[in-house]
Amino acid sequence: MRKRTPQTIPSTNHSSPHSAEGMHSSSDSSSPAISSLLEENLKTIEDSFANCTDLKILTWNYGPGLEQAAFSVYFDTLTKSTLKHFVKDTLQNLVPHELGPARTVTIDDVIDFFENKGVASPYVELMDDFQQVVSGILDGKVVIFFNGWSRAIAYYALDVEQRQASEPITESTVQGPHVSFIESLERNIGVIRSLIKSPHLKFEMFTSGEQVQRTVSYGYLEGVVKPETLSEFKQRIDGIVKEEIIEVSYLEEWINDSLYSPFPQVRYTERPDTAVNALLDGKIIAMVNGSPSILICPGSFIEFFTVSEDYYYRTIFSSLIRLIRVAAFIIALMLPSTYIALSTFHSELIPTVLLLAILNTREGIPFPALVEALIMEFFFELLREAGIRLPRPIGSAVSIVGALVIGQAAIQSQIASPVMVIVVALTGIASFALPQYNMAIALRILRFPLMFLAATFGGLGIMVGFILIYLHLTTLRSLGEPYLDSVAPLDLKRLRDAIFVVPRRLLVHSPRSRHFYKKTSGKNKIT
Amino acid sequence: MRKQERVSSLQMSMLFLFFMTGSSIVIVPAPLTNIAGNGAWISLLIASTMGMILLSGILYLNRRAPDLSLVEQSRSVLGNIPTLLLLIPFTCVLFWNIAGIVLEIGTFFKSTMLKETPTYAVNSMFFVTIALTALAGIEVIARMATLFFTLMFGCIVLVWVLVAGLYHPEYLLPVMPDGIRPILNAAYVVYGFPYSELVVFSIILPFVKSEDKPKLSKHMYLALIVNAITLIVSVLSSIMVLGPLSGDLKYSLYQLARLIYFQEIIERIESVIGFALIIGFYFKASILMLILIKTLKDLLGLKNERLIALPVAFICLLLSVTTYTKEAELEELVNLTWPLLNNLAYALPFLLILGGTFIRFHLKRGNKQPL
Amino acid sequence: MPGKFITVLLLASAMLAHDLPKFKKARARDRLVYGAFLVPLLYLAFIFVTARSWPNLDSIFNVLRGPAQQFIHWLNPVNS
Repeated sequence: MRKRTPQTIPSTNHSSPHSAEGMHSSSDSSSPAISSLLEENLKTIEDSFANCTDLKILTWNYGPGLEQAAFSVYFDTLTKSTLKHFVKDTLQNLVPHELGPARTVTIDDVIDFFENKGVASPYVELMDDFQQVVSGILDGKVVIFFNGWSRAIAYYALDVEQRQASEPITESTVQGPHVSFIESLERNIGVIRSLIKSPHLKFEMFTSGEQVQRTVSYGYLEGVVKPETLSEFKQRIDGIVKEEIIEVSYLEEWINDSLYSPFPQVRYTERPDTAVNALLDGKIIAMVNGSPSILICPGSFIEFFTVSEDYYYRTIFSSLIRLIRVAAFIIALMLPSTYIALSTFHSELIPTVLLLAILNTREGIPFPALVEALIMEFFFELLREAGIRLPRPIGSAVSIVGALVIGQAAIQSQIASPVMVIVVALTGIASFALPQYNMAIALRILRFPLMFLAATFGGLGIMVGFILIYLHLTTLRSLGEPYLDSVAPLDLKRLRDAIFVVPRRLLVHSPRSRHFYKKTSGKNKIT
Repeated sequence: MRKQERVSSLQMSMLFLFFMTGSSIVIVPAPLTNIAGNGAWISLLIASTMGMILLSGILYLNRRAPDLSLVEQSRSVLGNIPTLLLLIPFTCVLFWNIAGIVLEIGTFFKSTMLKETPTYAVNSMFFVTIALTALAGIEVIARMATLFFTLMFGCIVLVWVLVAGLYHPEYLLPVMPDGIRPILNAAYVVYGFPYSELVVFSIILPFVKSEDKPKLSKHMYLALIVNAITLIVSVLSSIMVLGPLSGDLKYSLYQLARLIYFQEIIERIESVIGFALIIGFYFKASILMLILIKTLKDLLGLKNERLIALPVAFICLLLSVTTYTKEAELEELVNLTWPLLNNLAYALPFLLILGGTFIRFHLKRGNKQPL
Repeated sequence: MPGKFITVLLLASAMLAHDLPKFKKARARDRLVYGAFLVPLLYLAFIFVTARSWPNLDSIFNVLRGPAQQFIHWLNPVNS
């Protein structure tokens, strides 16, 4: 997929017949110029797009005696069918009256009008060489060549079926907008622009990838985003130009500070209101044409527990829910290892009545707690992975029945104890309570070393594991910002909005304006 | 320790507090009450006063030469060869100091919770963590301190509070049944561990941010006071609960935790308390490792001191499993030899450097006056 | 003994794996010091694995036992 074999036009190499993209010229200046002879242009086009049967070439004539020739080139699969409009409109633009069969227009009129940038409807672009022509056709434009003119004109006519914007699949909420981003970059940027109406909202774009030519865009709110963060981001993005980007998560590899850390350093969202919140907080968002997720960076640890909904409800409720999420994090990470440590090493910590119950159920289980836990966890991971691929009608039935049956069968066959099933189930549910999926993945990975440590060293192992994880989190940086931003170093003012949601009215330093950098003063100041 | 790593004075003081309290809180009350009985808290007062004096010494040195570490200062005042001679025992004792802390952890666990696990396994695990922490640098360590501080001191205060039902204030009297001598003896012991060890902090004081340097003295003294109060309260609660037994039971705070009984649910939580207290040990050892690596860097002129971090840690690990393997030997070392050893290896070089700086400063002053 | 040996081996290989890339980039002086540290390391590893009681740091510390004892006795005749 990453092989780039640049071809110059004209070439005799053939792409597969059903690929809508043909061969590209290399990006140096050796692309041939458009000739004024129509036949030559025709041949060049046919050569570079050989075997692309969805390419349409329409020849038509105009002018006195219908002797002037021209042809239009476009991809049938990419463009609107209102093609004849363009042809007619082109010629219509050239005469002061309603046009008939265009007998009065001459090639000089055409050249004169377009070279001098006459006002045309719809908007017309001038093309100078074949590299532009090929890119244009691949972008969904209709290109028209005129005999006797060494340039071509192009109209933008892209019309590929787009998904309707509906509820985001993974981030649905009870209160709040139910719109999501879709796969079109322009439309996504449009949505954000209609929500933040400020000239300080900047979007920069570039294309990357030889074959995919994907438009990548990143946006930020000038004055709110930290200049060092922005320059660091730009530096990292610079390397992307050669990469074939398919999805926005490809960008993550370039932006990440640490490639091997299990913890994610960027967030994803499909909701405009989350994106807007992030922009107002001074984050940079990145998006790619063809992907509905947008990437928010830098990500700090606390943010992975926040959802834009928290700000729509009453603060007490939001604070409690946030605490539940933190508890979910701890449970998902530590519950199996705690159970192993408690049952193997530190039984005295469990209240006596419960201990008797646990011991009763653990009677007759041939495996030590660690093996039991590993088996059940493995079961659960299998179920989870399989559940993703099942078609929807079967999926829910299988997962419920499967879980119940397997769980029950496992207990009765003495492979696992009921307590272990509860532990594993709770762990799984807790990891789903986290709003960001990539954080939940981190926990899935980290759970297993902790279990091994617990089985070997008991509570001490868990403590050491916890210290190591905390050490790792403290050294982690996201775009240069410390990952544990308000926890370590401790910044009580900002911590107020981290775990507990404080009513916005009471926040003296609103998290929004906490680093508004005044351009006029010349030095970075916090208002 | 990358270039330009700086911590705030508050962070440095927190590290200092951790350093002084970390391992002492678990180990110290027992030998003190063993020797001095009910007057152990007076010994603490005496020893912390001596600690204050030493602290003022290292702060003075830091003021005179804010950006120079101890080694560099020593080189400029005493010269290269004397520095080398003086600081070699310093470094060797520092090596063992780290080993000693992990040795104590291992012994603690062996006698209380993990009786079957071999010591070297527990020690290895700790040393891996300590080495990784020291490698991360002082800024990271300072950042981690906050959470650990809350955890550890939270647990300590929790123990004090939860045992309150068992306090017998009458155990505190009589205060000095055998006279002042045992109290002095105990003061000498607790001076040895931990107070005389604070001399090594002069190695990392230069890492404080320049704008914070004026506030440093205030914060450090505060940290020392908090430390003294913590230790004194622990000793007092140990005496008030265990009475005459407190001298015979090692690891007083842990013993207190064992006695907590609250509504049948919160009982026998000493394991949890034990694990929280381990953080103090681990943190102190990490700070010491940091100090050792910095000392080696200055002494031997290394460019990349992080390269030798792992071999140094490995050596300390091996020291911890080969020396003083018998518990009685270790106890004897702490009570008997350690104060003298510290005085010779830590305090003596330091006082010489301090004296040299003092003299030179006043000589310069004297030279300037006629002008 | 086998457990000790395996532990030492594991730790040593982890250490070397971690340090080797840095070692290659290091200056001559750092390399020298690194090598110098390997000497006591190997000595200590040996006496650890074979559980011998050859001279070690505690032997040096124990030299001070006598004077320390005397001082304590002077300070507190009751004790010891």
